Amino acid sequence: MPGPTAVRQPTDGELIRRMQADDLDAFEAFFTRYRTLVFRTAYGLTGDRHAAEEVLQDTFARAHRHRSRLRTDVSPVPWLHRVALNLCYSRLDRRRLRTEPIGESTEARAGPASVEPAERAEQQEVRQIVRDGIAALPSKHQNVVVLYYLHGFSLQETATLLGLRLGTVKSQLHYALRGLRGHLERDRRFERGYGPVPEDELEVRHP
Amino acid sequence: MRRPWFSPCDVHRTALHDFVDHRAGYDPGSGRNLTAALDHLERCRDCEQQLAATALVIAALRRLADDVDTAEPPADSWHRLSTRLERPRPRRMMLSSPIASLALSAGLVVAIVAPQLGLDLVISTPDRAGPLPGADAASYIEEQRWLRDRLQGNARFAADQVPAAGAAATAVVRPRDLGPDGVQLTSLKPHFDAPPGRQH
Repeated sequence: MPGPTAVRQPTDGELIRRMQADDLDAFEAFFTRYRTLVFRTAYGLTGDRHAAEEVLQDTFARAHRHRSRLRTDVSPVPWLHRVALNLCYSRLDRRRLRTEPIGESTEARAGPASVEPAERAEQQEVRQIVRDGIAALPSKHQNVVVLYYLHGFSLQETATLLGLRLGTVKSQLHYALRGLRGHLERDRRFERGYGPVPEDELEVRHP
Repeated sequence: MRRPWFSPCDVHRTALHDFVDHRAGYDPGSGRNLTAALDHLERCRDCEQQLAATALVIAALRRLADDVDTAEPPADSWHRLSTRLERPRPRRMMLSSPIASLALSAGLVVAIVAPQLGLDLVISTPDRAGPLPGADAASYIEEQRWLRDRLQGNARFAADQVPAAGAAATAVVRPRDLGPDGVQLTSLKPHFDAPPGRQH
């Protein structure tokens, strides 16, 4: 008796080929597959849902515009990720020039109401310092930090998504952490706002 | 061939990093490696400080990740994107040719920089018989003198054209004041002598 027929998901290469033939359904499938990844990257780096939504839109609008140049033999994640990161940083540069209005996005970032306002402000400040630290990293280090730490992909998944070897990802993470450490150590706000490392962060897990 | 020398800190760095960054996918190494690394950590102040700082950074990154974990794109994002893709893109105000834009940029630079270097961009005009004094010497005084001479020359020319004083108004006729059919076009110049009948 034949079992339920599983619908085979098209590969990235197949989707891109169809996109290149102006198939809008294929582009929708492509968008659906990667929109959460791009949105979370943008949200992690901007801390603003509206900005993240704009970055999401702009990233995929570019993907559609340059679909003829997308490669069908490699993962589109590095390309999408790179475009999203660039858009985030250009947007952040512009935003620093003007005062951000208090709105829904600011309230959304404020966190739970149970947290004291002063503590909440400190947490926000620390998050911003970390974002600034990531922004100061070389682009290849930004990629691995965002995928590995912010998205929570494993080392192997990060390596696969970026088309790198596992050892390369480990090495880039090591240098990225060293760079971040240097950046955060230079920022006095970090020490003041962060305090001691929680016990569970230093938990020993013996093999 | 000599093998590269690694300090004990280098040897244990990976194991110590794995120790503070315990996550799926990280190979924490054998128990013997970790034990040796922890023994080294007890003796090495530098590694201890570095590890504490690294742990802080990792903890900060994970707290940032907690925000990201629950973030979902808006439900109508595809609708917005498809609407945007259907709209024709507005044409940017830009030069299509890189050579033209380069030439425009160079022209702008010359227009901005040349006056500061004292260069005269106006090559010649029919009104000017000779070069501006300032063009060569860039001397303010000479330029002023040149201007004064020109003004005096113009004043003399005007005085020659004006008939004897006393008239209420003077008609100055110059070739360009003749119309195409030879009809004289007059321009009235006010005379600053007291008008007749209004003398006090």
